[in-house]
Amino acid sequence: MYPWYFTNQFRQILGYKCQMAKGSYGGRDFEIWFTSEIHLQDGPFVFKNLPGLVLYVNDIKKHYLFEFISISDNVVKTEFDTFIEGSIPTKRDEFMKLKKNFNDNTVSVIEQAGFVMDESQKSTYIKKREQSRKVNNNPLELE
Amino acid sequence: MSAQKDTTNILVTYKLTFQPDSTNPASSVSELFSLLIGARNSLHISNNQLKRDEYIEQLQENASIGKNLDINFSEVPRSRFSSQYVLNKIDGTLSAFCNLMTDKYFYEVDVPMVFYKSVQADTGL
Repeated sequence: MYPWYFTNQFRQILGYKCQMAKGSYGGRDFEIWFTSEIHLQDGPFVFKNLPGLVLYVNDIKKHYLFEFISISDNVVKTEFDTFIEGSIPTKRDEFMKLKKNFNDNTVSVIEQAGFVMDESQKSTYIKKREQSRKVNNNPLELE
Repeated sequence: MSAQKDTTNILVTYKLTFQPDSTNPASSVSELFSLLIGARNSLHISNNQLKRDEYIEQLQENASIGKNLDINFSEVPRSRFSSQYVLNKIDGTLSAFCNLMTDKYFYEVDVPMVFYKSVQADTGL
């Protein structure tokens, strides 16, 4: 469990009075602004169950920032999936290990999945992957 | 578990601005997300991922009726966030659905507990 705490800080966001809560998740410390003027205990990502809608979230390094843009309660009734068929049940820490293994050993994982690459394709792919990892080194969930 | 659905007419839109390279503030980029709030569940998903899923669903439908697969990958929106979060408001569980290559996974997220106590550093007490 990751405890979150209320603070005594308040501010207006788009005309709504918001209060700040603080907490940690996935190796980041967050400031979460919610408004009890909108009676929906929901928000982006894992920022749920506060006593009102979450309107603004930032990690303290300001690398990730969720901003409320709009709410509409009269959109055409839309159906959405609450379960993705074929999903394999796992635990978060197991998934994070799989993801790390994939990122560290992408070519082997791809080959184990049955895809075939020749040496030249492998070398090009590895080079591109390394370049990409250099500039994509800051995931939302650090741990 | 099988496919389950909910319906909503409440749509909340968020913009996520993030810095993919921790050493380079100029690398900052943005992506829009939707929070669809139904009676029993809510879904938080990247708008590009939502479009991508719809596009793939359309391709699969075309394939099932023997229509030619005219795939133009440049038209498929890209998202850096393929994970989707479903909150079950009845039992309070939060599930994360994530992809790794062609495999799909889901796990339950520990929903943080909220304490009605001020942070001392903020109150100075």
